Amino acid sequence: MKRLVIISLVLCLSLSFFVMYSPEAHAEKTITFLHRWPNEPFKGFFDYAVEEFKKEHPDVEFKVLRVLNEDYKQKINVLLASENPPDIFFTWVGEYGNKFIREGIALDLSKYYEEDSDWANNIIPSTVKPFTYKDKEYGVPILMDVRMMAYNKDIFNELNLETPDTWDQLIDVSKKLKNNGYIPLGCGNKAPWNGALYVTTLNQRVLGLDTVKEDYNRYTGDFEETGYVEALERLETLIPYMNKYPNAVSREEERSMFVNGQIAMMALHTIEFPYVKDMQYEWGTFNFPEIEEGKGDPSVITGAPEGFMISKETEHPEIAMEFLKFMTTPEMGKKWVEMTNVISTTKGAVNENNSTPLMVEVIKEVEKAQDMSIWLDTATDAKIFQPYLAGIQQVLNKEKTPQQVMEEVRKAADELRKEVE
Amino acid sequence: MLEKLNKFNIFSFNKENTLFSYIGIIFSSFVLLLLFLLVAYPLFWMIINSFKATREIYSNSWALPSNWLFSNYVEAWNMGVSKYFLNSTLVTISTVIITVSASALCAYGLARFKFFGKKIILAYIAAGLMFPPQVSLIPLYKMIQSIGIYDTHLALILPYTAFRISLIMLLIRSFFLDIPKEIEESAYLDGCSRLGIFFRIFLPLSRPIIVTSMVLIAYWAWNEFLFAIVFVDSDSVKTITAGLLAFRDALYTNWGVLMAGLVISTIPIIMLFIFLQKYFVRGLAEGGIKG
Amino acid sequence: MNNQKKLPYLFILPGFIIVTTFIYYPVVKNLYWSFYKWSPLSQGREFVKFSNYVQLFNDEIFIIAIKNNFVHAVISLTIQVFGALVLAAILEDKIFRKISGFLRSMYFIPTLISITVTGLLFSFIYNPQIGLLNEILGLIGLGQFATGWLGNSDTAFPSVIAMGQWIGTGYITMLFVVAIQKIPQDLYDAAIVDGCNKIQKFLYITVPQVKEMTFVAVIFTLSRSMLVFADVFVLTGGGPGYSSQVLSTYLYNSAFINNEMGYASTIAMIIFIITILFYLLQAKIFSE
Repeated sequence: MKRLVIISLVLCLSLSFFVMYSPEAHAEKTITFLHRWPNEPFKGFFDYAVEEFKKEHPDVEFKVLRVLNEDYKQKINVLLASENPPDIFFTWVGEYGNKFIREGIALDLSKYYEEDSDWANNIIPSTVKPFTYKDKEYGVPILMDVRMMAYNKDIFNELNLETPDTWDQLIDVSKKLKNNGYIPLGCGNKAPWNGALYVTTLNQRVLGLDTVKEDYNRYTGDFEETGYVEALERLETLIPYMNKYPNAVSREEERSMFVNGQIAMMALHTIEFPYVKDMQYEWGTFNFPEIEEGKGDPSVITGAPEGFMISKETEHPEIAMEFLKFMTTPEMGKKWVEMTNVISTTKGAVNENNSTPLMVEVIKEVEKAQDMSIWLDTATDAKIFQPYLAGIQQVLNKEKTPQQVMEEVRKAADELRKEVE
Repeated sequence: MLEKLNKFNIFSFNKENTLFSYIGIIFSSFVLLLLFLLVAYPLFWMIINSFKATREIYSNSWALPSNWLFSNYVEAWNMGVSKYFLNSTLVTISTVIITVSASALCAYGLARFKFFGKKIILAYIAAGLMFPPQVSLIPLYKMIQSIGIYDTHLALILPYTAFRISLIMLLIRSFFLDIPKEIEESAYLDGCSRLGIFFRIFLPLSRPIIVTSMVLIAYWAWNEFLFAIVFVDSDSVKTITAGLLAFRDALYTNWGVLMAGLVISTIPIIMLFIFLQKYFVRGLAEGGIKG
Repeated sequence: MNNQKKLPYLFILPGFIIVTTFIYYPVVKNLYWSFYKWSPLSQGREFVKFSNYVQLFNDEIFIIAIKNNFVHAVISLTIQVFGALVLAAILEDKIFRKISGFLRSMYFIPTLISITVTGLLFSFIYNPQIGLLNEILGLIGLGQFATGWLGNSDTAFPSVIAMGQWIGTGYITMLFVVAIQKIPQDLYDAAIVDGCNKIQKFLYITVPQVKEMTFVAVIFTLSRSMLVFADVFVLTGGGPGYSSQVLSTYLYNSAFINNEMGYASTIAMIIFIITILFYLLQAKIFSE
């Protein structure tokens, strides 16, 4: 008798599994929406957007997948190549997004841009540009992430310091800060993208955006210019002014130290602004200093838009696009800024009414900037950024010289070029 | 052999010499104590910090919390640890049931029947022990997606079962082999079918080994890492091993809550151990030998 | 009558199917794919024969990974097998009998805890700012050794290994305790009569008697060292640089970060070959 019970239990379990996981009888239209924010405040915005959209489109069901940063980078490729790729998926720009376009995974959205010029004209053009390929748009930008130098105003006032405009001034300020017991510069490079982003800025300042763009491109990059070595050498000169053990400190810890007033300056992303809300001190931002001997335009900011693409395999391209347009209308743009305090890609979304003076300052910088210097780790192919990022960690640990690291990057670039010819 | 021992008797004591013994005892006690601290202190540290606010962890991670923030535990539970817990439990229990069932049936077939290919099949299934999960990872990844169970509990349950059957089957089979044939024969004469014998005689007799097997499987499945992070993406399906990592990332720096989450995740298995210690130990010892 | 003949096959069927589908079939596929070069994004697959293997053996990172696995194995064998045996012998000594049960369980707890929990706990312990390790070093006057344990290439992997010992030693100790308990007391009694002291009793009775369990402990430790994944993944992710890469994490990186699935399959095959070799080697030693 007991055995019968157990057998039937097992049978029931198996049956229930099959029922649970059988090809789901869905509502007419289901959109799978994959984004990278399981955490607040961003999660809240997307949940809100889905709810509002469903009000106007009651026959549409949403399946929302939220996968966090590092995990996302690893999973997305295989998810997209699977039998049921998500209809809408998040992407960074640069090679990161380009590979989706090249491999025919992203849907060509240019006709939607053409059809609805009202909507299209309301998106800040420089944020759409990185989503285009051969003059066609393949994605919709939702936010602009800019990397600025944040600094502790109270400390600076205490020591009578001015924000540095040039490299030499930066070193000076750092020396004074260090002598007074503060950590001048933050660098939490446990997840190696932080160091890479310093190098992104340095590369651009030393070599100029055009050269850099050419080298980050997988078909033309060779990294032969000595400027790259110089950029790494400049990073080296900053090491004494950074927190100890940069490779052991996580980004979150670095931010914590800034918020607690131990670190005086850190390269903060606008997308991180919500996380420093609790800071007790007054803080401000300045654009990374100019390197006078370098060829780069100092007004160029390090930053990139982030947004969404639609899978070519989608069964509901119209609805998916509707949703993306919905999220980027002026009203939703303002809502985004309200909820997240991050720069929206819709014009006028960031204004004095909903943003702190700081944010308004930042958006002015964004609009002033001629062009953007995109993050090294999304702009380049994995075969380049792997050795590059590992090399930066090794430079920070004083294990390899800038020369050695660039040698490896050059080699990787050569191999890559051969491969993709 | 004992003569040889006498030859090497350097210390030439007939009884244990008091001084030497004392030194030995003090030294050994010191070692035991040190090891105890090495094991216990980090756990203790984790527990006391789980009640602190992050700022306090930063300033004074040694001391006992000034405020015992039980809220950390509530927050951790609500922020997702409850989900991970549920998933781990679901996956573990399902794996245990399916593995024990399939293994027991298999063991019975291999222990009590004579049939063509028996030795080969025995070797085939036993050899599964030699394959580490890494080797199947990539193809399994693709296969699980094609079958359509990716990102579901089945994505973990089925591979877990596969990787445990070899060991459990061997354990149960060896137990079955020890069951005297007379018991079966009399049941057979009474008109019992083979299947009936399995359910009414073998299984009840095998209770100890089955409990041991369950404990072994549960322990392995609960702590499995590789498949758990690769085959599942959605936060709502993640088990504790993968979920805690996502938890850490999502929290940014609310470390008190993170520690609380860690403590919550540890409690059930420790409870299981305390209550089923006998089976645990026996299972690990025998499991090790068969492995 | 036919039914009777089929019966055993029915019994083994479920197990057989599951094992074939989820173990054997993927392994064969893995071998097949190791001869191809492909990324999950592109549709095509390029047949490259042995070039993945050739590339692997010239790969600096692969060499570092294998070296790390071996170092891990050597240290684990020393501390976990040898150390645990000594520890088990001490615990089983009459003197400590009363607290032996309690201590044994205590030492065993690290093994029970999920590896993610242990990994996260140790990331805190190794944290340069607030971590337990640096604090203790400061407290006992060895502050100059305080460093960013997981951030320096020369201390990152050793830190991972150390955590591995913390986890595994209690388990092996438990195994040895079980084995020692099975040793007949008369052997020891006879030794006392002949005037043996404790160290001799250990060396000449205990050690030989637990040969079988030693074998088990060696297999367990070795395979854990060769297959180590979670420890590295949670603590360091293979960094800084490549200093703490091991075979399994390199496999993961190749597949999911570099998008080199064929290469990843190749690494998996190497892992497989190594584990098989160890099994065969030990089977041989054991049968002697």
